[in-house]
Amino acid sequence: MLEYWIALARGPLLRLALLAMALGLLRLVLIQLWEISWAFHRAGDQVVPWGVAIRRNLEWLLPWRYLQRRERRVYNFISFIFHVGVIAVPVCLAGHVSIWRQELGLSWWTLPEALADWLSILTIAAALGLLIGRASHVSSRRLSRLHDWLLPILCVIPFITGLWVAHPSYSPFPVQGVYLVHLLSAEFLLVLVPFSKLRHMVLFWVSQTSTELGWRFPSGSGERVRLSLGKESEGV
Amino acid sequence: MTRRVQITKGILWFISGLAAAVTIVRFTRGLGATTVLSDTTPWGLWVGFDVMGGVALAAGGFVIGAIAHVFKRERYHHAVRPAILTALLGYAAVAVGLLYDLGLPWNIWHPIIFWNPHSPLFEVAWCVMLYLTVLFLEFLPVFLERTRFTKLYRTLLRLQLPLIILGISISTLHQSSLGTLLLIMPFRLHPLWYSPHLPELFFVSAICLGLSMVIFESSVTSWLYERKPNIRMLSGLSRFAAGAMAFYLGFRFIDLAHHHKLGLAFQNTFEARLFWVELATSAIIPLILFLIPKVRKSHTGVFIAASMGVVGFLLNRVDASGLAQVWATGADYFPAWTEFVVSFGIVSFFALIYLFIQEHFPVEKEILDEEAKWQQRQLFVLPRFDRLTRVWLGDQSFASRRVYSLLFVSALILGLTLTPWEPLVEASPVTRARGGKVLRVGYPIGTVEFPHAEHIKRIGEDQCGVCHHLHKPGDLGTPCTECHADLYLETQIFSHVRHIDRLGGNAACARCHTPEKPPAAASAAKCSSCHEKDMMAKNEVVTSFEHTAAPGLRAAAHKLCIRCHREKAKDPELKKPDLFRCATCHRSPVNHGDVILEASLKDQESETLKGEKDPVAIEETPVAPEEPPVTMDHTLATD
Repeated sequence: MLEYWIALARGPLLRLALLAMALGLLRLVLIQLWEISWAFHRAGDQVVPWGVAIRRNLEWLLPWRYLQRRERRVYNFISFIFHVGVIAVPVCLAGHVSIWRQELGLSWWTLPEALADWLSILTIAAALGLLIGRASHVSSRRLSRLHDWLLPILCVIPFITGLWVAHPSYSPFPVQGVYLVHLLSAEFLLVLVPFSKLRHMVLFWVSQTSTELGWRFPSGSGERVRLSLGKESEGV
Repeated sequence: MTRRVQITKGILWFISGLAAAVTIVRFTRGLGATTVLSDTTPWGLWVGFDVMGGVALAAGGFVIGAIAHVFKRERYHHAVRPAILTALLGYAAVAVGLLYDLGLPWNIWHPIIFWNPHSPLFEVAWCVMLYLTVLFLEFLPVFLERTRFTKLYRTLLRLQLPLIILGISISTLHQSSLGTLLLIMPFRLHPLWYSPHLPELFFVSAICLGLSMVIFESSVTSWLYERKPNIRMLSGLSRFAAGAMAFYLGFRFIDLAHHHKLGLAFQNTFEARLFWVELATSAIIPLILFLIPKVRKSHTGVFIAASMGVVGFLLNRVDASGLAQVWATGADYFPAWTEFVVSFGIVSFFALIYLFIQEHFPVEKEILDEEAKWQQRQLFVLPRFDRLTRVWLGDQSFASRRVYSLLFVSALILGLTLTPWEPLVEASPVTRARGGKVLRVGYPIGTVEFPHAEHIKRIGEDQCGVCHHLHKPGDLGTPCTECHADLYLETQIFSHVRHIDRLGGNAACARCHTPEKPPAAASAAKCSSCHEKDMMAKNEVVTSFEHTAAPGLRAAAHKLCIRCHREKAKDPELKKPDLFRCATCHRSPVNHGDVILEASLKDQESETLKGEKDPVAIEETPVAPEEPPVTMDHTLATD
């Protein structure tokens, strides 16, 4: 029975999760590009500093600028470690690469086994650190929504179960069951990517451009805002 | 845009998404992965519904054109543009549907260059191309009306009457030539449908379907956009439809009676029942409904009668191109879900284009104006926010586009997950070999009668391992069908769970999987490293035991038998050069369905029994190497 569920989770469900992530993100990118072009099209001021927008996108994509910020330095550093682990381990783990090779026919550089283990442990610790950091900072705590708390926990489950699968003798539960939980939790996370704030993995690339364009209002928008709010008598 | 339009568009986007997924598989993996069609049933739902039905659905264009412009009934001018749009999109859908049907879709342009005037399909292809061009020219003024190309617009308007006449003549040719296509199969098409007058029947029924479709489509658009339906026009059209249906019924019955085939309709056969269902939904019930003046004056009544007509005449096309051929082929055919999805997906996709053109071009001016007013109103609607992320959803048209794209992408993902990427091979489980000295393997198709006793005699009693290369643990001479359990598909013979249980849970992983490599089947220890003694038999064919999947019985038996037969056939001392031929083993007439095979098997069985001294020997006994050799039966000799 368990065997059957594992086969299902490794076959059709994995395909579903990967497709859901890839196509869902593609949809978001296309919508974002469309909205950007629409905002540009109707903006009153069409002179856009494209160079600045691209440079700022790249600056925020690489961690340097983020790490140089003055406030909450420890939190930023933990977040950086967490991101490294969350990207490197799923993509470059030897066991995963063998699955990619089987399913997609692609293979690439793999993490050494020991490094992958330590990176996973570090990632789990970093996730805990992030949760503590979020809880201990007042304004951060007040701004947090339910899924801001849930997502780090959900991200950690595949890492813990993955460690147990790699080292079955340390696992307190039968390894087959742990493997199934590993697969299902990771797939759930993949499906969740386009529907949660995890989508920043693709939308971050254009966020600075959207900000640049989003604040350009079409001519006469003040009048429309007034009409929509039903406050015709007041001044713009 | 009303709520109705939004919901309808959402559904249409979802179906289109599913169809897009199947389309990807269709054009990368071919017809085998997306249809259950075979050489016996090469025409399925796609030909019947998308091509035959689609062409007939588009007949409204020329019928309304003729009524309004040739017979000068001004009342129907209103219906001309929507009808021509339906026809244009219908024909475009047919062309797209054809791409799915054709085995080599990239050769669809061949009829333009390589002329084969003897083929009905040649006529069909040319009519589709010409009529599609004419329809486009007929509809072009709608696109141009509110643009600055006034000169072209006026020229096209002046050409409208000749274009409509051209359209009528090409349509007449084309609707009937689809009937001509079926004229070449008098012994395949059931006599209740086959007639030398098929071309004329197709033409008349196309007029009925075209009129029903115009009524249907007109009432659906007025329901969608919440407009008052033009009852006067609809009841006028239904009067025309009633006339055409009465003519069709009369034509069909006189034709049947003339060819003395009317009796077939009163037999208790599947075809007779199908005939009556089709005729009732297509013509009889709609005709009765249309004849009642009260029904003709009510929007609902006209809509119900017209939609029955649409379904019924579509069924007629599906019957003629598929269902009414089953009696001759004897091959059951029920479309795969992928076929349904593509058929409805093409319709949905073109329905979306229809709604888009209605909303952006002056097809029916009321809808366009209503749409423009709605857009204007949207500017003053308060912004809405997403509950979860608290993000602005954009204005109404943006928000609905977000929903449509979400529906489309979800359907695409769902479709791609569910669509089989391998050819649709049905599981054909193999029964255990029956018989004592003669084994029948692979029932019902591909049955081979294997003289087991004779092989033991020839090869030697100690040579069981040549064929029985692997035993189940604790077994000896395990039958081949235990592992090669399907005729074509692989069987998994390795139980991971069982091994984990027997070897002791989590700590046992390291007994097969090396800790340095990620645990996977490929990198695990070979089965033979533990099982060489208890499971493997001494033989030359299968020397190592490393696969966890057993190939299908056909592949396994071919590999094993052919290898040996080829060697023995070359042996000059044996003098059996025929050993290497297919017919040496494949003797049953297996290619004509189960019935003949069953009969031939019974014949052979009785013959076998006649020549048998001891009938008790033919019991269901598993392959037993200890069985005493019995003399060879003449009917099953291998030479």
